[in-house]
Amino acid sequence: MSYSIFSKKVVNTMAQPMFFGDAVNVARFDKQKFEMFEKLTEKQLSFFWRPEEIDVSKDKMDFAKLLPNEKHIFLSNLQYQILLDSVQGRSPNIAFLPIVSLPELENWIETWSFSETIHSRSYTHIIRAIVNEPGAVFDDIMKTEQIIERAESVSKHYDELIKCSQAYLLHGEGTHDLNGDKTTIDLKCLKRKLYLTIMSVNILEAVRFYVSFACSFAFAERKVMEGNAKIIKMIARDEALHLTGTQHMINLIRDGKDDPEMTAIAAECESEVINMFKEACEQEKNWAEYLFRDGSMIGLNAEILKQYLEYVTNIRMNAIGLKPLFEERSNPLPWINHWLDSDNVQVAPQETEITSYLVSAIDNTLDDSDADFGDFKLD
Amino acid sequence: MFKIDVDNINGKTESLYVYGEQSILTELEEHNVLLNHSCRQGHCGSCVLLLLQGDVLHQDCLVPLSQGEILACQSKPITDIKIGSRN
Repeated sequence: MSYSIFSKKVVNTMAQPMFFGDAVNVARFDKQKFEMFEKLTEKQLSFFWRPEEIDVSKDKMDFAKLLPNEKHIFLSNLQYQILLDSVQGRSPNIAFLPIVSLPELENWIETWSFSETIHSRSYTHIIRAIVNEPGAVFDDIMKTEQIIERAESVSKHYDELIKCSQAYLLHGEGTHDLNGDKTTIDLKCLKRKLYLTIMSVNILEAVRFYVSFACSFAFAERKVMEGNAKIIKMIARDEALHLTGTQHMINLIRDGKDDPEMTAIAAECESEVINMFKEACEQEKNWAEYLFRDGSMIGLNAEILKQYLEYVTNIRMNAIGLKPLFEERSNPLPWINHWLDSDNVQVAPQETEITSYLVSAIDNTLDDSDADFGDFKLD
Repeated sequence: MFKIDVDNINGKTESLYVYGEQSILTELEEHNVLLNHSCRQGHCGSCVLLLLQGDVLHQDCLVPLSQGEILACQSKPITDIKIGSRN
């Protein structure tokens, strides 16, 4: 077989699996096998935002007044998020698009990945605003051992899937020479790599990101770095959507609503997946130690952050039908929900962190302040 | 204030008194009634509950809900209510 960007084969997309069926040709959304992906795309489009809309000028003054250990927490945190979004800004497209078989899922993957590029742009917006030499902050990312270590575990499943699916799309099943390595490619092994990659992405967006979110919101709870927190709130809102996307894929597979071979693979991989959650949680706990190595900040320390990690890990495992790893507990950082909850429920537009302002909305009520309309009438 | 009668959610049956300003999910958490949830934005459906009595104000969500089902993260009480688990 050979990959074609527009296959001439007429296929019924309603009968295709999510991945590794026939390639998508016509991008059509008049009927969908899994409507949820269409809804996710529409929601993501309605969330569109630009970092420049958010004023971060006060953050420069706030940053200058932070203690050195707080500056370390703030910048390291951002550097880690930059890494995560650099991965997410390109990988879903590169890894999943060539093997996707449903138009609505293809569209969701592109929309999802694009929104990650907005996150990447927003980090530059923040860093430009708060430091005199933004370049140094970016250059340090690739020199920080603790960040690079985690880059490996964040990207290894993606890399493996991309390598093998590209070989499969070019040469089909069989033993191929990939840069001197004799690698046997078969569809089942590819599907296994795909399942583990989706899981790894879910862990990235549903667990790893939340360590950084907690730190950013902890600053804003003290009324400092609020511009940054408002941006991170937008990012968290997007990520809640993205993690729902991967959870939905996983649950469709696990519940036997997609490819039966994938369902069998999901059952086979269960212990490996539990280990992935365990490993990610451990890595993030080590990161918490690194963040707070020079001292804690008001409202947050390494110990509470580790407890929060266990709490979040449990919630995410529950959401995909896995038995939680840690003892059931209430949220050790209850104030974080104020930042993560949907704005639809808590409406107080004068608050810094509200994100539900309508763009181009018109208020058509008339009151005493509009008296200069006088006797104006429309005939 | 409104009364929320919790009917066997995660093993808890009790009455909570709330102002109706926060989502039912937040109210339950604040009263230590732990409930499955994930996105807190009405996308994932993890926090679905049954509304057994009363009325809630329910915001937009991506999840298809059957008659009597609510998402705890997207709803707040506007009368006294009684809620229970779906399962």
